[in-house]
Amino acid sequence: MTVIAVSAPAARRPRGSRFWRWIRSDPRAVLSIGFLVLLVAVSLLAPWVAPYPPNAQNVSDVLAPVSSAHWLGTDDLGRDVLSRLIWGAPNSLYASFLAVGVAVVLGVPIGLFIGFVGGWIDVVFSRFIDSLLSFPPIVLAIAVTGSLGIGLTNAMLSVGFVFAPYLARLVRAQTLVVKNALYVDAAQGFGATRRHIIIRHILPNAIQPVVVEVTLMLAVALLAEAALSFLSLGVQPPEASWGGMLARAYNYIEIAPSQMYAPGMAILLTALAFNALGESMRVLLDPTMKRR
Amino acid sequence: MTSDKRIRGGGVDRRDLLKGTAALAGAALLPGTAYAAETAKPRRGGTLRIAMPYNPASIDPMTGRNLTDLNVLYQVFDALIDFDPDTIDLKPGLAKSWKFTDPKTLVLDLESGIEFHDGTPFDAEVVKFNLDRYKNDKRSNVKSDLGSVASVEVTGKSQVTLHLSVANSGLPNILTNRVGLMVSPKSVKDHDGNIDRVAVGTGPFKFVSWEDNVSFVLTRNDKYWRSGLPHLDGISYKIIAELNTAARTVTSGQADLALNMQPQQKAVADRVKGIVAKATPSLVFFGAFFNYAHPPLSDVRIRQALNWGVDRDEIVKVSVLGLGEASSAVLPTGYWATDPETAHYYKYDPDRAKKLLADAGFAGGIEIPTWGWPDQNSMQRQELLMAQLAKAGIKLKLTPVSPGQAMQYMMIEKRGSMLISPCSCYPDPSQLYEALYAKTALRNAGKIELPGFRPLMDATTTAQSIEERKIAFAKLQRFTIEQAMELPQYVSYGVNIMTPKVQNHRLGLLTVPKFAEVWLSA
Amino acid sequence: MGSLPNVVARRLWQLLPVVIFATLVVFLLMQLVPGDPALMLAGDYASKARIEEIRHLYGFDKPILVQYGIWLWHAVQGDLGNSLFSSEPVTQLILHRMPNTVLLASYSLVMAAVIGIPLGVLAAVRQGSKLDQLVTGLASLGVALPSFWLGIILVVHFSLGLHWFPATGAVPFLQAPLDALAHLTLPAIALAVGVVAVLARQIRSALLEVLGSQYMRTLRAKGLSPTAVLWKHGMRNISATMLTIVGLQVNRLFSGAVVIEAVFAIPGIGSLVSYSAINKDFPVVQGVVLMVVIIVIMVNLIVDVLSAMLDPRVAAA
Repeated sequence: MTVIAVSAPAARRPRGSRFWRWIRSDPRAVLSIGFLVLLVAVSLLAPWVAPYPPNAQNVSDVLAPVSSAHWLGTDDLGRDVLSRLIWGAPNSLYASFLAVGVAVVLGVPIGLFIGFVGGWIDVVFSRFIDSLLSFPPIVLAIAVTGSLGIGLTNAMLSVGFVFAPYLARLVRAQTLVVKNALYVDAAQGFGATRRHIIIRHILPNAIQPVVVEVTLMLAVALLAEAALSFLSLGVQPPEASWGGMLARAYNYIEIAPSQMYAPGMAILLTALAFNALGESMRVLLDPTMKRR
Repeated sequence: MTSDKRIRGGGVDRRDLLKGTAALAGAALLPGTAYAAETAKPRRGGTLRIAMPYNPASIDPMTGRNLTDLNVLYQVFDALIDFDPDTIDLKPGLAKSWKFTDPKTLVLDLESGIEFHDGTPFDAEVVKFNLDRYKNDKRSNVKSDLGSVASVEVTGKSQVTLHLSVANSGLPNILTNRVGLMVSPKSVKDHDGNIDRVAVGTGPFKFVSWEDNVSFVLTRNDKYWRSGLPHLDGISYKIIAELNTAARTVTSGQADLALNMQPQQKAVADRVKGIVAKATPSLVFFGAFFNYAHPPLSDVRIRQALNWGVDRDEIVKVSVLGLGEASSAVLPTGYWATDPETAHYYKYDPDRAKKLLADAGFAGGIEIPTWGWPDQNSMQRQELLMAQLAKAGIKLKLTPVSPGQAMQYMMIEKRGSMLISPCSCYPDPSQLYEALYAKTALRNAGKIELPGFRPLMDATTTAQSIEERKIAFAKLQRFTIEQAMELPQYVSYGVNIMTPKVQNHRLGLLTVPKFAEVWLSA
Repeated sequence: MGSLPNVVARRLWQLLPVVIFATLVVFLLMQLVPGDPALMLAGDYASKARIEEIRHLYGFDKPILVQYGIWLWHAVQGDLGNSLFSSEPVTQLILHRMPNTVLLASYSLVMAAVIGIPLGVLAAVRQGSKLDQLVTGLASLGVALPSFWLGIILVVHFSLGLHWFPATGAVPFLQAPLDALAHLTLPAIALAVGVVAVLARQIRSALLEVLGSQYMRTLRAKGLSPTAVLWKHGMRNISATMLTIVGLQVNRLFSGAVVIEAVFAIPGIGSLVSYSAINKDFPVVQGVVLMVVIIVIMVNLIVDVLSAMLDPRVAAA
């Protein structure tokens, strides 16, 4: 699935028109992009959009059900759930992008490097990557968070660390494919430098599946944030994050079960949007997928 | 005892208190059968099924580590000295009497004719063996409990004499706890000194089996030395870490009693018909430790400002659903060593806090680096504290870390100014104060003693009579509160959930039950 | 088929460096955790001197690599050490809890396979139909659904609400098989949904690839009915791939189990590892990681062998 046909670098095509054709032909992409744009807008405008400050407590009105004053009720300290959901959006997005950013920064260069130089370095690193991949990811993330310390940023750094080998393996495979393709041989024949080959030839071709993978990873990172917050590893008081809200709601599952719906829906919809976008891009970037 | 004061906390079962005082009157005359008059006819038989959230780390009293281990230990082992659960007033145990012949000599006269579960006799040599083991064994976690004991001498078949290096009138209290529990010397020998996973005592129940994190089984000791006891045929514990699950085993009829519950479980159980949920005062207090050796908390005004800036009643109401006693002290009122006069010294007054801050030069507010715990209950309490203190101009810069890490950072690496954490109880109150404020205490982050503290501290163990000790503790309590050496918020309640079949179960201040006199109605 | 023993030997040989790498990584990570296990060992009533003593007693004052070497040497002999907190042998601790996790994972995997594979096949056969769109849509939803959130919703509705299943906890399978399954049904569903989605999606696209191949087109051109093509040739061709896809889910299941076990309070190795990691109980974390890595690799090995038996081309490759 991850191997795409090696064609001329994508950059040579008229990108703009293709983008609009894609958008018009794929309502799923429109929906997911629309949702994500809305989410980013809400994140940026949180201070103006949210009806209450996210940490304003009212202990005489805790765990209140849905009302006209509180559209989604209040939590265990009487804070407005809708406001916390809105303020949680930037935190949750930050968490996802941080994790995936770390994975890209670590994984892509390593993958490019070992794929390009090959030899024993490739063998050793690949074995190392394989051993990291044989871990259940959450177990590894828990161990790393344990060592970095509890907190949203640390938790997501760990998730990024866990994701990195997946990207490294993907990029390595892409690099090998491109490297073995004729035109790189040709470029080497013309005496191009290694850096030139990597930047001009290998990277542009290897990057397409990476973009797809990264978009899909954003969804997984969001779910990982929720899971680690649930296990008390991602908390950052008193800031709101969706995973943290869910974890707190679970504490009151027998007293106020309705508390857990709002943050769960927020996570689900956002993960869905990232996934849908990733899938759409895969179809867009991989011509062989269109037939299926 | 002044049990009327205990009602102040609110939400206490009044009948419990009455039972407690009634029992006391009887206990003095006839230990062991004290409740016969009060509870009609105890029924013999039946197995008590218990759900509890904690797996003991070890069932050797010496190597175990946590208060909850005693849920099991107290049933298998007898202590040299027993106590009334509601007041911690001392009663005879394996020692039928004890007295200080001088402040540094404690003589214990032992019961005779008692046998361990393995048939070996209990005598003075056994007591010496046990106390020496607790004091000297390299695996012992309880050495410091016997720190004041210089030597143990057998002065008769049924008499031991403890020679102390410093006067310690708290020692009899200490002998009600771990170091008072007598294990069979034969069992220690048979297992090469490691009895972490076998328990042979003289207690009302015999150890049968223990499957880690799953179950514990005890059976009746038919030869128990207190005649007519125990009433139960046996006890089976199920270890269920998740509190809601543990509580549900009682509401669904799979268990009779759930130990060590939290207020949330009581709130749920209260809605279930035919289930009894009890909350009683405990010795566990929730507070925050200060590092008062370094700025900013080296300034007493800032420590006081923190104390005035906290609305303790609101914390009790929200975070433990009213099941706790808001307190400026580290012990509950109603306990003999607590002085009710200063126990509610700090009332919520953010303006006063602000003024103190301004006097200390922080009119514009202050930020205090603070450690906290990451679990959801702690997070809620911490967020509440943060919001309250913010109104007084105090910003807590809170970093949640696991409990072990928090201790490491705060107490050993001396980072941060404050650690929000509960503190569990000690058999003698002098141990609690030493553990919190002594120069060498782990929980004293700054490792300094405030001027004036030491004489007041020592007075609590040199005072001989209980009345003298009370006065000494009242003075010490006033000092620690006025100096704001801590940020106490509330003393928590122990919560148990049970079916109405369980009779005569008293959790008591230590929140550790003794089941010898518990019975199940038909 | 002659190369089958070679496949096995090669895989077993590969196991060794992976296991060493994996445990070393975890060992180093656990060393970085700033909390001091000696502090917890000393308990509620700790004195400073006692903490120093414990540190020495348990060897925490030795250099990291020496500690790792000691651990590895004992592990090779089958001794994974004792838990720092319950002083129970780690091997025993894992063996006690492993059955719950393995049962949960297998229950969930069976559920996922029974639902996911037919959905994937149906979607591929009716490519582009309403059914295909529904399956693809549900698969996207399943992948995006936080499994523990689903778990909580199931508890609220089916345990606390309708009382159909026990809300939390687990009972030993050998003592009461039906009760054990009843306890694990909701967690298994919560865990299975994501796997169903992945299976349906991957099997759909794998089957589409096979059905679209030149060989299949030739068969159809020869006049074979579409059903015959699918069952006689398509499914046989894809069975090895299917097995591989299912095998790859084992890792995902173990990962999901960590959180699901926390939601449902199941005493399995998932809850064991998260609790132990937070409390710095290294011997337990090390032991669990070792066991899980070995299980994952062994499952993949078995899948490879079975695939080779189903499809000789795999073994030849």
